[in-house]
Amino acid sequence: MVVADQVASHVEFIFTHYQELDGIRLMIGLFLFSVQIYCDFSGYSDIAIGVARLFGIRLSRNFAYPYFSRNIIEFWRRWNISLSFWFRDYVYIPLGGNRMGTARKTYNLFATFMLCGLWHGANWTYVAWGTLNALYYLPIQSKKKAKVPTKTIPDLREALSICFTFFMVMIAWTFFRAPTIADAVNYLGRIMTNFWDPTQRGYFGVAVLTSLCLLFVEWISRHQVHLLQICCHWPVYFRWLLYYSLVWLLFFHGNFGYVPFIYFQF
Amino acid sequence: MFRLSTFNSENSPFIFSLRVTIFLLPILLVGIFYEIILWNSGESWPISRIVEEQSRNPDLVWRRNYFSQFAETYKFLLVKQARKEILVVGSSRVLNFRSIFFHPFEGMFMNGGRLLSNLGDVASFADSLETGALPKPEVLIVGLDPWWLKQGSRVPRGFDPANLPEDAWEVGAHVSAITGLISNGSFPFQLLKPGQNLLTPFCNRPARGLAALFNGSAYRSDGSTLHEKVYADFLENPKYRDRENPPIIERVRALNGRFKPCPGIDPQKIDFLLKHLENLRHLGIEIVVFFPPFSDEVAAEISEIAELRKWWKDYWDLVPEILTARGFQIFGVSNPSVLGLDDRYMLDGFHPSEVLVAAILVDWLENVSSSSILASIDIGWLKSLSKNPRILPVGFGCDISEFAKYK
Repeated sequence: MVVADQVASHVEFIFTHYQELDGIRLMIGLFLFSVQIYCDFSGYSDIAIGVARLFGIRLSRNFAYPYFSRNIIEFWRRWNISLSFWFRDYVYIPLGGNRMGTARKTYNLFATFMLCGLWHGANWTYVAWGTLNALYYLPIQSKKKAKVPTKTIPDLREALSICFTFFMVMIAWTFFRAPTIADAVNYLGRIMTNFWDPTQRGYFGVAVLTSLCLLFVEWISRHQVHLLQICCHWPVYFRWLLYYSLVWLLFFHGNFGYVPFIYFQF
Repeated sequence: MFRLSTFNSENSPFIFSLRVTIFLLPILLVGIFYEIILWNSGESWPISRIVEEQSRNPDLVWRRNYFSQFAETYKFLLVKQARKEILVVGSSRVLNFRSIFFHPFEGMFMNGGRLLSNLGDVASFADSLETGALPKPEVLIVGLDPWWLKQGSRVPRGFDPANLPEDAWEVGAHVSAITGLISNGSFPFQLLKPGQNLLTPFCNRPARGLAALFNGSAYRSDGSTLHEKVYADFLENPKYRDRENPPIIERVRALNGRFKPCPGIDPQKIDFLLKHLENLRHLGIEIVVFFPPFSDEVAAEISEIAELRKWWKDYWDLVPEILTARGFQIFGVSNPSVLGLDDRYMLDGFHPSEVLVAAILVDWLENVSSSSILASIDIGWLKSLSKNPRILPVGFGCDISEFAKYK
């Protein structure tokens, strides 16, 4: 939540002033929004899981390091798991799933994703976002569940797959964040037509660095269900030191103004 | 979908609660320590309480450092509570009008500087007087800033009297105040004791709020500002220094912020202003428009910049002409040298010192023909203020004993 709220003002600025910014800054905007929506939603899912646990209720995890997915299928198995599994179980499979030929399967896929987009709001931008995600699915034939890689440093193929998937997801987020489809198209168009303007200054360095740090910590602990599980076996003093450091981060770098959860609007 | 299960922990709820309590205890203790300091210093007092305190004790000065200033809220409540006959409103550039300038009517004056930041605020203020949300003064001096009238932007929305901002009860404001104090390495243990007679650092005036206590930068009960640190700074180095950050002259040269290039004054904004001023006049209020000065340095720079020249010239020529033609009284000077003074009489590039404001007022009152209270102001007294050998160009300093007999 601390990271999400830190980058929120930059994302707001970039998406509001996208017509004045060059492509590099717009790409940074997309990257920061990808981080913001993940941290925001994943953060509040964790709060819900933690609060429920206090009352003796275990809730299943909702995010499993989705930005380290190597293809879009894997991404949707790791992103908003409760919602994507609900759509799979209650829309995609009842429509026939993969069992009724390629044409019907494609239809089911698009119907499910467009509905998933509409679930987020009655705006064409969400439909476009859903459609784009369905399009990403089409070229992927194999639906074999990919194994989680165990190496700390991925091989080139894996690294490229992760980067490409993240890039495609980022492009789709443009439609999710922009107020209209025209804005999203113009945003992406501007990235391609005006990539670098030497007169512009500032690369939102702190926000980008914070986001990269977060992704790095996630990468290190990606085999755990939760980030803090890495310290489960540490001596209590070190654990408490880590917890106090997190409290310090929260108080000194958290945004205590009113920044509503992105997903509260849905 | 969510998978539910019963919680089967090896730890009992008691042990868990105990651990959480022990973990949170140091954080709570630090929080309580700073909350006591914030409360005892008056930093976390609600603005409404400050207004009440100042009405009971007119010597009390106040300004927050870590909580939001919310000057519009403070001034709105102050003006509402004080119900004065002579009222100055405008941006921070009118804050150095003081009650002592209006002898023998000191008790009738209130400074509402920072209540207005743009034309939208002028409309909100006029509406507040019309609806009775604010008491009606006899004389209203409106400080008019040139950027309010610039072409190329819409009139912003003014303040909402029914929804004035205040953060004294917001958790986030308390957290950022405490983290701000810790980040600055500030551990003012002396403030742990309640009920102390807290004073400003240079002139020993009763004070509340950490900006007042640390820097002597505060609002007096008449709404004007006290700048003790500026006095101290000037005594050490008696030269003009643009104390804004970044300095106003740099903003002008960079054509930044309020000095962005503009083709001139917007006629629609003039109409907007006139409409609201006339509405106020229809309420029976005598309206005077004040044109606050800039430093000689800034005035010279703006007149040299082609992208600002017409806007600047229109503001000083055309706008006064239109206002005068519509029957409004006006006064002001573009820069101190017009009155034979210099930039030492400016706090920065666009904030005049109280001494300069007094000089501008004298210059105007000597020639004005007013039927109101203004005609009865003791100009001799006002002049004597400026001639007092103990005054500094940046302010009347700490020694106010000579004014005491008029309180």
